[in-house]
Amino acid sequence: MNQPPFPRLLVANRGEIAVRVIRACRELGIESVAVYSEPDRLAPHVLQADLSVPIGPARATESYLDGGKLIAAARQTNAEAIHPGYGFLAENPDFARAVGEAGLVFIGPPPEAIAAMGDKTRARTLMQDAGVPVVPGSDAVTGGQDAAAAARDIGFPLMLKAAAGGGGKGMRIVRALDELEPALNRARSEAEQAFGDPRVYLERFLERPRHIEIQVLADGFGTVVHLGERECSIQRRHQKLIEESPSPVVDEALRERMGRVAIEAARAVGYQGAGTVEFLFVDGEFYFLEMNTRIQVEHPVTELVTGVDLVQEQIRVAAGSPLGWEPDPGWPLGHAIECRIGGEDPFNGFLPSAGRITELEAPAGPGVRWDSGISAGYEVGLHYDPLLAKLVVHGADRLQAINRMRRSLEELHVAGIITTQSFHLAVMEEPDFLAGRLSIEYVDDHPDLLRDADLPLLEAAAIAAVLLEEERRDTPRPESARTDGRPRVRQLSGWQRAGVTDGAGWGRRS
Amino acid sequence: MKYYVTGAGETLLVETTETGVRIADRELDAHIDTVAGSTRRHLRIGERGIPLAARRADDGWVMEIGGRVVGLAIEDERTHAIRELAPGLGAGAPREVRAPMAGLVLRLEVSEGQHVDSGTALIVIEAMKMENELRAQGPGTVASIAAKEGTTVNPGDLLLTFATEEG
Repeated sequence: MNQPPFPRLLVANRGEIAVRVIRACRELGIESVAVYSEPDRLAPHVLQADLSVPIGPARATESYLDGGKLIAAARQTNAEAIHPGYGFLAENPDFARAVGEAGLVFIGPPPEAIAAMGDKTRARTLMQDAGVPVVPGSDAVTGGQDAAAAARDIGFPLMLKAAAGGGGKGMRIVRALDELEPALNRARSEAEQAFGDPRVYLERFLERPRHIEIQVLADGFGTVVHLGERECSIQRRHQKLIEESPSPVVDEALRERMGRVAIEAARAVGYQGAGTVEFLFVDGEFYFLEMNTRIQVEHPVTELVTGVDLVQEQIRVAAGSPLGWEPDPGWPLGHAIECRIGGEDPFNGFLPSAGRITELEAPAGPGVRWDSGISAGYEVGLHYDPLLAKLVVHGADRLQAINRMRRSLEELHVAGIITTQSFHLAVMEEPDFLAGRLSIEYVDDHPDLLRDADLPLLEAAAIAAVLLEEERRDTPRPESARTDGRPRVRQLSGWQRAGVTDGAGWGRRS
Repeated sequence: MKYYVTGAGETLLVETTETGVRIADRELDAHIDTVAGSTRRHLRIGERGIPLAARRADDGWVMEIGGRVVGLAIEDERTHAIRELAPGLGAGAPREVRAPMAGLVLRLEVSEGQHVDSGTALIVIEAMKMENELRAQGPGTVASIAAKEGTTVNPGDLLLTFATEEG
């Protein structure tokens, strides 16, 4: 093995991304340090790390979001570097700065680059100056007159967005001039409440765009490369659910155009490490949305179609190595799809589902990758993000990848909690998805996705239920005694029945 | 024995026979085995194997089959007949809404005695940093409310009771 980039690295995260980073460390010969909150004491990322340090109670603000504790844990274990993963402190410039000031290496871009991309209006201006196309819009507006003037330039319908924002807070669609002032007041007050910053700007509203993003990698010697696109249009409430690479609508010429623009965007903020430039794409045109200054959840699809280990590259570059390779003109190799497996009940409005995972069998076989932060016996709590695992497949082409994903989803078996598995399976069979007809409204446009099970499936289930019922009634030891330890199942069924229609409400979507 | 199996909006009549089941006028050779120490089952219909997982619920079974979760209520012929004879006890009886997860009760959207339609928001519970709206799955009248705003609830806690519409 070559000399490792660092002897020891602390992973300031939990769940599947912590496991992912630890895997990269092991392959690079780096000792990994896990941190954990009280309920995560025996979580998979702790079991897989070489060292581990407790950092406090379940509440994230007192554990995974407490930068002081993370830096202290790195010092205590003599770790030289900190990998922030995604979420938590990954895009917090103050944390990145504090890590550097403590004499440690932050695996990510310079704090100035994080800050520049974190402020949406500032990032827009920077991008415009760098020649990156942005959605036509305004700077932050001060009052009604200012907004009305900007609105006349942009045209309707338009979107109000919080300058400090994200996640849908402070966002409003305005379809006509007389709606503008009341919408502005509400958006400003929402933005003030959510971010402590009432600044709002205007943007043209795009009808049914796609979300397409470009992965970039930059070293400390001025080399910036792109690794092609990911299409992430299938989202719910701005949370991505399914991602793929390549996009069904991006050809080689468009990929090169978008890639060049993404590289310019990264250069404009002095970027280093792995990053993602997100675009909205509609009618053949793409517009800068934002840059994520971290490794992303969906990075595995790019890894599968390029063969590049993005997390290892992040670590190597942060250690001061030059990239030392060029993108292969043969990329993308085949087609990759990722489904995010969340602890949510897709038939019940994606309500969080928590509880102990009693059984877990992950799919395997040709072209299948399972990145997970769960195991049998693991208690899924309600303190953290509901993302449990990512099922990623690689095929020779899109159709093979879809068939492979469907097969893998059928193999996946998780008992004890409800997951989004059935949602993904429904998408893999839906004609618009099969044809690559996607937009960020896909989930809302397909309310029938979670239709009831087909009759043959229902018949098989009914036959099984009757046979099991007879078996139960004939057996001296009643099955119900064994299920006493599984309250979740009963309560969910209780809720579904409480759905007040009739006894037939089982498994039905309202 | 005959059973009425209800799920996904359908009620199927399944009768057990010496060698399997009768369903929709078809005689099927059917057997089921359990994979030891798990909820995994293997249903055989003739030579065809159908893998599934099943766990017992209050009045039926929750099946994981073909990547889907299907809840099935099951009644034998006698129970079914008794219930059919006394419809008043079924549809009009108060029904309970229980917390599907642990969380904080943020808002009560309804009050006692209020009539609600299918889809009306009842209660908002915060969990996993998300606001989760529990909605009525059918029309009804709120009979009583047990949940209090600002309190935490555990899975299975009673939130409110309902009187269902007739018909």
